[in-house]
Amino acid sequence: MNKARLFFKELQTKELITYGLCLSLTHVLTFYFWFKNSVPENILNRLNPVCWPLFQNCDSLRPLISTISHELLWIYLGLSVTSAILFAGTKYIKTANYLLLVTTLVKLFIFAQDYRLMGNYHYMQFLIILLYFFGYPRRMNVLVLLLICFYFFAGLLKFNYDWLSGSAMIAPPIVTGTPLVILNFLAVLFEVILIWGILSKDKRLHAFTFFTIIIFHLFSWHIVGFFYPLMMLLLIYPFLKAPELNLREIKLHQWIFILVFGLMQILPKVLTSDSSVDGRYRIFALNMFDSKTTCKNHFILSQGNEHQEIQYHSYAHGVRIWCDPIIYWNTARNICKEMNKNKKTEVSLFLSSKRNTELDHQTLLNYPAFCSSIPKLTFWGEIK
Amino acid sequence: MRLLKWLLPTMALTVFLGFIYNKGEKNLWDSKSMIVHLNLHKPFQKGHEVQYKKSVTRNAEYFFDVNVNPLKEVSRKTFPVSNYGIHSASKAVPVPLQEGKLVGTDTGKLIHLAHDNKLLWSFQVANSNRGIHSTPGVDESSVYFGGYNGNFYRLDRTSGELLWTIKAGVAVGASPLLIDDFVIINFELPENGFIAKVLRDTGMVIWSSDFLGNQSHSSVSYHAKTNTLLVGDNNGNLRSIDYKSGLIKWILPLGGEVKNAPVIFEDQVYVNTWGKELISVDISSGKVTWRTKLMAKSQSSPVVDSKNRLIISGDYSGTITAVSVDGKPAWQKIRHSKLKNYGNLLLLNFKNLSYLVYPFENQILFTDPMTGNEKLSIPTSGAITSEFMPYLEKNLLKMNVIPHQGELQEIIFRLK
Repeated sequence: MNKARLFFKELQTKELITYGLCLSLTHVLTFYFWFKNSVPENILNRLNPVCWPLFQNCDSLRPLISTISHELLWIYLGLSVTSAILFAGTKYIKTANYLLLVTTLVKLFIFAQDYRLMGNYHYMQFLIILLYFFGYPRRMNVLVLLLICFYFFAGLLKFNYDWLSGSAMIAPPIVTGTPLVILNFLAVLFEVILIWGILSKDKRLHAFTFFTIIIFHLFSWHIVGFFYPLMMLLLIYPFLKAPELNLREIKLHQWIFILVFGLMQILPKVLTSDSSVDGRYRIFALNMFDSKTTCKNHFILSQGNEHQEIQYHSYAHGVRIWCDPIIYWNTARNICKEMNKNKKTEVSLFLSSKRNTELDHQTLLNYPAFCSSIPKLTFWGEIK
Repeated sequence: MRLLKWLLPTMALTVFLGFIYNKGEKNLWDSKSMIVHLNLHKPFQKGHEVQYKKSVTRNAEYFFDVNVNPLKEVSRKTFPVSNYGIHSASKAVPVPLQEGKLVGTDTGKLIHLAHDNKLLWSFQVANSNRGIHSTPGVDESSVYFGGYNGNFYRLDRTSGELLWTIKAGVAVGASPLLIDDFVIINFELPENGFIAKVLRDTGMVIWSSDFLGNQSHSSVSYHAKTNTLLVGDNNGNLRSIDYKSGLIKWILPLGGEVKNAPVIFEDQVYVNTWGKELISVDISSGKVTWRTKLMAKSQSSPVVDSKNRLIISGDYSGTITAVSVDGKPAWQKIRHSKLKNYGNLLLLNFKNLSYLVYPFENQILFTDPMTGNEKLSIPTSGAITSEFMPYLEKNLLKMNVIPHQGELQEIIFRLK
């Protein structure tokens, strides 16, 4: 049997068919999440996009996207539901997989249109689907390892005062004060240490770890909403098979993938003094609610002798990005583009930010003449 | 069991760490944390300073070295600059300058108009639904003012470009005080406030005072002889702050909110309070030298008539009370206005004539400072909740006013 056939044959094993179904359902869930949050109206139909550093010309597609955003979303739902049905039927698995791949590409296309769509849940889903398709051979092994790494690195990120003290919570939890801090410590300990228990051959430890994960996600529901826990509960299906994992069966290219993933998590810590505040090098890394930030900004829009200070309401965005310099860079660039149509415009952009638990702000952006020389937004989300 | 052996100590450690880590968030208002944004660096040029109530002593007493006939309004010009604010509290005073006038409006726009009504520049502050209450301070190169959005700004006087801004409070209602190379700013926080001394050049904060304990609308005054800043607050205190260090010298409870700028004359400071009193305090000791009852609360500052050595106060009822500098009653003009009269008083001293000028209901009254008797009354389209900065231009005396819910008007008087 040639390699290509083996590649597809593995996807037809019972556990990967079930996982294929779970992954298709993650797309159905994404559709509901975007639909519920009126992503077309609030983001895709807006002609002033916030582009990703990797796709800075997203505004060129925006006129088209804004006219077909609803259709695109419904197509996305149609594809994901069809693929889920085909996986559930188990008869047309190859087609189901093709559909899952196309669905993922459609999601990636929508996702690429605006930086405000970012989120850990999407990041993890994309990586898992990437491995699901291309993690051959014995995909389950590397999928389990990647999932463990998600928890492990998320736990490391949370090992800071902000998260542990409870001040990074995006919504008030039912538990507060010292009990909350204790729970936060337990969560971090669980993610960094206990998560490895999922690999245990000891059935009790494996079951304990698995149910702790379930409880952890269910508890987080009232804080982070429905999407994150449900997404994770669908993604962690491989954990049921984790005791069967044999690390020696993981191939070099799979280890390299895991290693690169790990490096991406470490990079922000190594290259910036506080990536939670400045957001640099986080573009390919997990972005937990590891700290909540507060920022002050202004845009001074000058047209001739008339100057206007614009207070940008950053808190309209998600908690992870409300102080993200990428948002402000895009906004300033949009203003420059928009206003130049009329007459000579200059924008002064200023942004300072701090962790909620700190007193002093640090200046992240200070460009008195942004339009005259638009600073470069690098691949890594750094503004120079 | 093996699992429990491992878990129990871990949990115990966790609980211990949990207790240690249980501290709150640090809100911006927990500190006097000031975010200074230096946008463009242009050195400031000292000289020809124009500031609220004429000088650092906030003694709105104007001297003009000319003989005049009794004042008579000859014309009035209206400018398309309106005042529609949501509240009628004291507002920014239109500032006359050599090249035109600066007007802070209720829409949050600071407008610089030329004499011919041409727009020289404008600066719109953000989140400005409460407008600009702070009267700009001006030097040769720059304009300094606070927005009711909590930000303080230095703009280039010629172009209106932002030079620096400080984000520190929820409002800046008080007017800045320009002294030496510095500007003194009163920032309001939620239920609190503090004073900051800032370098005019870069916005660098030299010091910030202790918290004032309640919102502070009072503009700061300066007593040069003792290097002392004086400011009131909504707790009803008058504070003396060392200009060099920012340390509090004394705090004096006065029994009523002090919303206005303390007025300094010689070694005394005079304040009107919401406790219906005009109070004189010795600046060095912080002791009350005398108190005089007013007919109603007072939002405005007293004025000093240095020639006649009188302290004259207005209150909400429209009553004007004059007291000698040593606290003896001089005269009182009792009124029972149902409107709140916010407007400040000022004294116009010509060589041969003096006028005590103040807004009363929908008019501006020119009275005799010795007796309080009315000499001239000028109707306005609404109540004036700010004051006036009079200036001479050839044979004319001019005053800019923005009545509540009205347009900017330049009132012109012939002197001879």
